[in-house]
Amino acid sequence: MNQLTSPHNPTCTEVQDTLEAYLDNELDTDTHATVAAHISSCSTCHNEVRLVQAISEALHELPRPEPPPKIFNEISDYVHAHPDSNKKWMNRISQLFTVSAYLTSPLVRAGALVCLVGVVLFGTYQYQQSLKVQQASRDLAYALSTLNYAVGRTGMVVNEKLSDTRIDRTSRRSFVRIEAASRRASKQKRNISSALYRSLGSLNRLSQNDPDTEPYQRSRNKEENR
Amino acid sequence: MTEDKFLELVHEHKTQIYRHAFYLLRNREDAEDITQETFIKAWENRAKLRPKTVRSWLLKCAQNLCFNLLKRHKFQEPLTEGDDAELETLLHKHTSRSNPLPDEIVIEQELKDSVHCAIRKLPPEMRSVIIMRELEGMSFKEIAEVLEQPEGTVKSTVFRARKKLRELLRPYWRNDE
Repeated sequence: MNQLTSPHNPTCTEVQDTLEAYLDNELDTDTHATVAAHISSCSTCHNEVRLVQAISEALHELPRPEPPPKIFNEISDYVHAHPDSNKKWMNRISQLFTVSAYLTSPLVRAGALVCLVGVVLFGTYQYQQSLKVQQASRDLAYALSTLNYAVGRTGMVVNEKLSDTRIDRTSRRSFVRIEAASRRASKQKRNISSALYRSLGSLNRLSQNDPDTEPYQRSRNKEENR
Repeated sequence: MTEDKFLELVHEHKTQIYRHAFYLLRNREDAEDITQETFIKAWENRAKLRPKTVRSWLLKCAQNLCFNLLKRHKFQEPLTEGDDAELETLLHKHTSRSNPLPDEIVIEQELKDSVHCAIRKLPPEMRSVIIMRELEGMSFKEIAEVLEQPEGTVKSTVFRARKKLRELLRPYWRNDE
C-alpha cells in the first residue's frame, strides 16, 4: 500500500496519505510503527486520525433503509408468470404419464391396442385403394389420347385418299358409302370418347373427391370444342 | 433453480441490493426499480447462478444497472442540502432516537449529517466501494469478487474514496484539541 519516502522522518502529508491504510492495519509493520510514532507526537495528524475515525463511525451509523414489501411481491408475480421453460416440458411429459396411468386395466389396454391396429390397417387399405384408382385414371387417360390420335389419323388418311380419287358416276356411290361410314365412325368415336371421359371423371372424383379438377376439366373442354 | 428456491434467494438478498441501489442513486423509486430489474435478470439467467457467487452476481448486476441509470441521467448533483428528501427523512429518524446531546457530540452529529451529502460528491465507482465496505461491511476480497478486480486495486480505491470523503468533510470538522 502507501509507503513512506523517508521511513524514519515522514512529513505530515505523507502520514495523512496513509491514514486509511494505517487504521485498516494494511501497512507493513515498520511503516505502521513509524506512522503511529508520528501521530502520537503530531497534533495535526492526530486530529486528522480523529476525523477519519469520525467519518468511519458516521458511515457505519448511516440509516439502513428497508425495501418495501411490494418489491418482493412484484418479483414473485414475475417469477410465477414466467416459469421455467424446462419445467413446462417436464409438466407435459408428466401429464403424458398421468394419462397412461389410467390405462392400468388389461382389458382397457387390449381394447386400446385393437383400436390402434384397426386404425393402422384401415389407413393402409385406404391408401392402397387410392393408389389403384390413381393408376387406373392414368391408364384410361393414356388410352383415350391414343384413341383420339388413331381416329384423327384415320380421318386424315381417308380425306387424302378421297381427294386423290377421281370421282365419276361409278365411284360416286362408293364415295357416298365411305362418307356415310366415316360419319358413323365419327359418331361412334364421339360416343366412345364421351363414355371414356365420363369414366375418367368418375375416377377423378373417386381419387380426389373433386369433379372439377383441372386436368379433367381441361380434357372435357377440349373435347367439347372438338 | 426452482421458483421457491429463487424466491428464498430474493428474500435473502433483496435488502442489500435495495440499500446498495438506494445509496448509489439516492432515490427510493429508482432503487426499487433497480432491485426489481436485478432479480428479474437473475431469474432470466438462473442457469448461470451459483450459490457461492450469487451475492456477487446480484451486486454486480445492480451496480451496472445503477451506473447505466446514472450515465443516462447524467447524475451530477451539487453538495447541497434539501434535494434528497428521502435520505434526509431517514437520517432524521435515525438520529432523533438520541437524547439531547452535549456540544462535542453535536459537532460529530453535524459531521454525520454531512456524510451522506459528501457521499453524493464521490464518483460512482468510489461511492460503490464505500457503500460495500462501510455500510455493508464487506471484506476487500468480497468487493474484489463483485468488481472483478484484484484485491489490491480494491483496497486502493477504498482508501482513495475515504481520503476524498475526508477532504470533503474537513470543513465540517472542528479541531477541539
